[in-house]
Amino acid sequence: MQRIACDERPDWRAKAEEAGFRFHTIDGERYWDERAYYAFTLKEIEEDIEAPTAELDAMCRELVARAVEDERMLKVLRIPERFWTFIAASWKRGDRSLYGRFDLSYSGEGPAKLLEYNADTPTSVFETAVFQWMWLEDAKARAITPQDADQYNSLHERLIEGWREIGKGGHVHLAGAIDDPEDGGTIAYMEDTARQAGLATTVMPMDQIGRTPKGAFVDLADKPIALMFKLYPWEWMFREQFGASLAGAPTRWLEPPWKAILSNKGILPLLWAMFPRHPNLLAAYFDEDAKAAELGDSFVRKPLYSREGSNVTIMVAGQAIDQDQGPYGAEGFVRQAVATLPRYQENYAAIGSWIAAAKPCGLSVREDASPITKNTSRFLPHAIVG
Amino acid sequence: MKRSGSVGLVVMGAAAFAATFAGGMAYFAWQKPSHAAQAQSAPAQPDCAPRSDGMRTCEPQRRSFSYYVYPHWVRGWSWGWGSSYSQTQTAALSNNSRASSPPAASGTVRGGFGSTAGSAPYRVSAGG
Repeated sequence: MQRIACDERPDWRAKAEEAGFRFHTIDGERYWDERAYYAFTLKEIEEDIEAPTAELDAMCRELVARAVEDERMLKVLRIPERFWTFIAASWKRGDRSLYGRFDLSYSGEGPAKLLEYNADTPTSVFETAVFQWMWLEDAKARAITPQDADQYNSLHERLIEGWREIGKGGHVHLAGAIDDPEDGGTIAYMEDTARQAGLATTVMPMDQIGRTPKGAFVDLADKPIALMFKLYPWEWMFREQFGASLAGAPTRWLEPPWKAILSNKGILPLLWAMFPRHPNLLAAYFDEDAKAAELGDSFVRKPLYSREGSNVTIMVAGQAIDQDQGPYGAEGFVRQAVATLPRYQENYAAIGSWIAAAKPCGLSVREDASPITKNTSRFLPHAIVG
Repeated sequence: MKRSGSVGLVVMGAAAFAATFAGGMAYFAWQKPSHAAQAQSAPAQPDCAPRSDGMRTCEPQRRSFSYYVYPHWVRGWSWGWGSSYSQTQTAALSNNSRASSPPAASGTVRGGFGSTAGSAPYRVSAGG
């Protein structure tokens, strides 16, 4: 794994906007950054990213299988008891997952380590699946990369395959905070992949989902919602007014309710307990667990529920070396061993390893000047060279 | 599987380009009223009808490869649901009430999801 500085395409902004990638710059700062790219060998991709991702997915599914049979696990994850049956039923019914993203610490030396799993509402999917691929095609044509460079990226195709398997030519509604540029763009892209898979689609704001007197969810035309893709966290839905109607409604959801287990940082200590010393896991414990002392005074403290680095603190030798503020943490915290992200000049790089339709299928790289990856962290393309 | 492991995937790259642009333009038209006005004059795709209440329903279509290489992505082209969508969402955003809407004649209640994203300490984005 190497960071290779390169010329950015002079026309990349125009190309991004032409492609519908409007959030390439956020709050005046670059989000998309092609002044460098990350180069991987095929061996690194296949052996260090792709295979471990499949293994992590299998371990996570094993965790869910145990959790739905063991209330202690659901309790320690602070999942409200009134949703346990709803979640378990989803797993036992075999509700399929469309996609997810494992965030890894990886430098090219030693095994990739799981930092967390964005199992429920992963974003950066468009720039991963489409725009970095467009970059590669241009980069080869303009000799920015070698002519035979490739990319670990079949995310777009896997999403379409996933929609085919899940939607079976039916109708999917897609909802979320679509006023947000990133979420709106993500939903627009997901809608298009669904359409390419042959599904009819309806996009609507999350707050416009209707509930009938019988407890069914309907769209703005009062038509029943049979399948709903929501870019909206399960834990938020659970505590909102319509949460009480989830179990009784016939709507199928993407991601499925059992992903509520995996989108919780509490899986980190649970995975470590189930698969101790697994090479792709970091030691992790719940904050209140006496074993957390084994980590000493250097660890990363993460809320059970948080997004994009919020409320994460990196402690080294008892000192907080980096901390990101936010609204999370009321449900508790976990402590995870420190796996500092590899640093290239002044940039810390985190790997996002994508899985769609149950197969590992792509990679994204986010960079930040701080060791905590945040919503403002820049997205850099990658290539397979050699 | 690596992206270039299949010839078909190259075609998909083009598909992604045009298709994603379509989604992005539709979104952008909704975001920017001035562009939405342009979109009003552009023909809506027959299989993707906008509604005045902010919802958009699209029926699947079979696309030939020529669809993806034909330059749909000229300025101002969109699915044509921009202006009405903008109005609806602006109204929704300006009302941060946590209470759901009163029942319609059908008895349907709305606003029971989405309140957390709009509440003070959280970003609007719900993704991660």
